[in-house]
Amino acid sequence: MTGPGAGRSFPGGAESEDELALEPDEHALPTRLLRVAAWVEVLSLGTLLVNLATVHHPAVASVTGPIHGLAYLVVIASTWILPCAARTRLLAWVPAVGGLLVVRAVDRTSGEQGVDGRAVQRWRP
Amino acid sequence: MSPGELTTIVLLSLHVVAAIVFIGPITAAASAFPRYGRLAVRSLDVVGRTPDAAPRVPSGASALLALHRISSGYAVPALAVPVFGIATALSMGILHETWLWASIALTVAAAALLGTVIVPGQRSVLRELGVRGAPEDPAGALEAARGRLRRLGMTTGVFALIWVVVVVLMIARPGAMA
Repeated sequence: MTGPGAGRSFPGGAESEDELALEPDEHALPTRLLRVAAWVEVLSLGTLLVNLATVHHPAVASVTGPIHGLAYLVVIASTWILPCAARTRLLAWVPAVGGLLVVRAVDRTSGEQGVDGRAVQRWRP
Repeated sequence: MSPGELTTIVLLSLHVVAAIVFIGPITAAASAFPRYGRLAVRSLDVVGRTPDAAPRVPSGASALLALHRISSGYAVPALAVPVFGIATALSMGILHETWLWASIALTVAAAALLGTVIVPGQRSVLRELGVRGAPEDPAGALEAARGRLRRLGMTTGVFALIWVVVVVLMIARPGAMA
């Protein structure tokens, strides 16, 4: 028992619980969601338009429509949660390509704000 | 099976799966947070009395953070539940039903409770325990966290109860035509 904190053990053999608790992955889930939703937003709209131009099957429209709407909402919500510039938050509202525009804007400014999970890893010492 | 029936089956399945996979964990994590929070408060309380042991982080801090992340992070994909729910109702032609609008109102109430009371309350507790950020009033932080955790326990109980009522409404469909 020497020094402060001696005798306390932490899971995973970490030296202190700071290592476990203060990981900067706070934004990992919203970032991953944003990336997936951005592509779903574009691809689902593409599916809807192709369906409209070719077979025009109502079942395809009624299932893909809500998926596209959901992707649109998820892009807006996850951009809102992440620490983004006001301009980037507005980009999320752009129909169809808003998600991809946000991902591009985030990738460009990554490293400064640590919005992007990959950038944070690169940025960390 | 008509295309309309098939559409309803797909949409309703997505609705129910999203509810189980996203709203289930939010409810469980939000309910467990106060219990783990009280353990963390106790660990600071006991160790804080011995002068040479200066704990900066309470025991179970990573569990608290994980529960907080599930409570707040799963809220975004949980948007799938109302989206596919409304799509299902449209596809079944029952969007005018009263029991449906009662459950929509309850869902809005639960979302408001999560976003304005539960998640901000968890953030305050994490600050007061020094898990993330520092307390504004270090002297009274533990006492404040204790009171806040008690209130969070009640709020998460109400939150869970709302989902029970919504599920009963979905199954019983009181006042439904057919």
